Amino acid sequence: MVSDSPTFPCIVPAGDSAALIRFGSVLDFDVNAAVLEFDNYLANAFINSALASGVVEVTPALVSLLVRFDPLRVEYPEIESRLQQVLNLKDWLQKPVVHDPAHWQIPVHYGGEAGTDLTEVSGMLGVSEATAIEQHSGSLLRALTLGFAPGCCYLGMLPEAWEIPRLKVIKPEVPAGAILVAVRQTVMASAAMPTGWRCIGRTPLNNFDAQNIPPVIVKHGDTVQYQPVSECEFEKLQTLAGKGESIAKRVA
Amino acid sequence: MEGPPDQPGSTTLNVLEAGPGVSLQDAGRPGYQRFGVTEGGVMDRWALAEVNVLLGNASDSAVLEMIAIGCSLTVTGEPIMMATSGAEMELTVDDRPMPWRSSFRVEPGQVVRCGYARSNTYSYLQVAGGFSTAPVMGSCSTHSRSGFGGFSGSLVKAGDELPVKGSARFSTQPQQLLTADYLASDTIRIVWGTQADVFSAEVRDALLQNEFCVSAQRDRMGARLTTDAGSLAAETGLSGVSDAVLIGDIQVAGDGVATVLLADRQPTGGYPRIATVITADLDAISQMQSGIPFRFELVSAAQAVDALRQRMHSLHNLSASLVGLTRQPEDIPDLLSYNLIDGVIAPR
Repeated sequence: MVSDSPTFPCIVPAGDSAALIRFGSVLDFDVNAAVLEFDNYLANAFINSALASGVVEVTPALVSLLVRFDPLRVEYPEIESRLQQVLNLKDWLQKPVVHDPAHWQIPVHYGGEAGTDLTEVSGMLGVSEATAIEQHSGSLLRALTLGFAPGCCYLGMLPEAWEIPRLKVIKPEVPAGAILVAVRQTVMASAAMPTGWRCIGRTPLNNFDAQNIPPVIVKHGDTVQYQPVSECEFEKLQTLAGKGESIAKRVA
Repeated sequence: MEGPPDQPGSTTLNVLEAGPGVSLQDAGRPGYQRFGVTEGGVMDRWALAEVNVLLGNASDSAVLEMIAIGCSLTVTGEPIMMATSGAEMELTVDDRPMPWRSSFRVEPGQVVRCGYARSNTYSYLQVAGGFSTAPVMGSCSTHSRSGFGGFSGSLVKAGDELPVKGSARFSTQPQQLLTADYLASDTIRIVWGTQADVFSAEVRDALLQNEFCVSAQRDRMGARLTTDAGSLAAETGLSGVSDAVLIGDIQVAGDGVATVLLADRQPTGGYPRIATVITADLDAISQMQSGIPFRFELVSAAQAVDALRQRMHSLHNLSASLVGLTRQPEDIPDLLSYNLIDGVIAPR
């Protein structure tokens, strides 16, 4: 159980019915890409394959991937051996490639009431609000993972200066569409939620629709670039979003 | 999405009163955690099977789950069979007491009332044939925080009309089940968690050597524990990088307090997790009454799987445990003064 600094990737049992594959211990853009490439490989390998027998669910996270199985149908050693075989196919941490990402342009209204922490964040960065907006919207971000709430997206990596700590006191609620920042990442909130991150803007995009398959628009590995829009434009787009029109523009 | 009833004008349950946590739940929606959608589903899977066995329903038909406080309903349309399971509540049909964990016939216009849970936490009410609503992402479970599943994504409230499936199989024979042991469990079995190594040996010992209670701070997401063991905080604090969360994970926040993550847990978590409750004991920890002491027992993964195998074997054979109630309970005014089945019904 107590491990000396393990070599990655490694497989460990989780509970009595899951295996956790760790590709690293700290968030790193390439380690995340390895998780996404491995996830994509499993998804394809599991189609009509005995490899998938007994597997209930595969969930990628920032630098790890959880494989849940039914322990009454398949035992842990068998699952571990199957996953190890896939890990042995190549060096997953060497130049990982995220396959078939979609590229999205997504409107954001920065600052003001939509982004009450923009002033503080630009102060922490030591730049003007306009420059902070330029840096945030000028970054080509990857959807590193989804979590916390349905459709809630974690994107990265922002420039190194954006290594902003989380808040000490949790904000009870930010609205759906809130654009949050901390630790070189941006969270795109898909519903009203509490957060320990700073809010710098808001998008009219709702990244979750329970009636769609898949239920999200921006998915793992997709790339996103934000487009600053005025408050007036935001409101117009939000009305359109309410009518079911697509807000995220797919450019590739 | 709102599920239209199968047959317009078919039988409905009209809700007269409802406690704050009444919702439709089934076996949950695995497979969507990657989209940030928690698995959800009933807090007590054994009780889900029981209430459906009592009525001859499919074993995972969606049921009404009640949290500590029940509801009252009246039936319109056809007479129906109903049943209850999980935490025992005071149950009446038109003010006549009925035994818990049994099926019973209800005539149109009669009022079914579930009171407060006498012990444990989650209670279940079901109708023969099940409720009629459209599944969302493969499940009828309500996720009220996100507003989908169940009836229009909401908790059940007074004034709701809950459609019953037209395909109800009508059984005239009321039946009963014994109370299962897990509802009185004082030991919860665990395996070490994937991050157990960030906790000191002293903290891991403290988890195994001390008594714990589920506190009043509990909901479908998780149960905060109280203990005299002191802080269970990890040596390294926040790991910073979150992993996917498993049901039963015991996370320890910065304040050193342990929380067991349950059906509506968040899909990912950054707090270190010291241990995981084994699958066979998830119903027991979910149902644990607040303030009643229990201990954690460390088992091997093989023992955990054996325990699950035994539990699933018993669950699949539940129908063999059905006891026929030869007369309608309402025809036996002094029914509740009998020690009917092994003390299931306490004389009151």
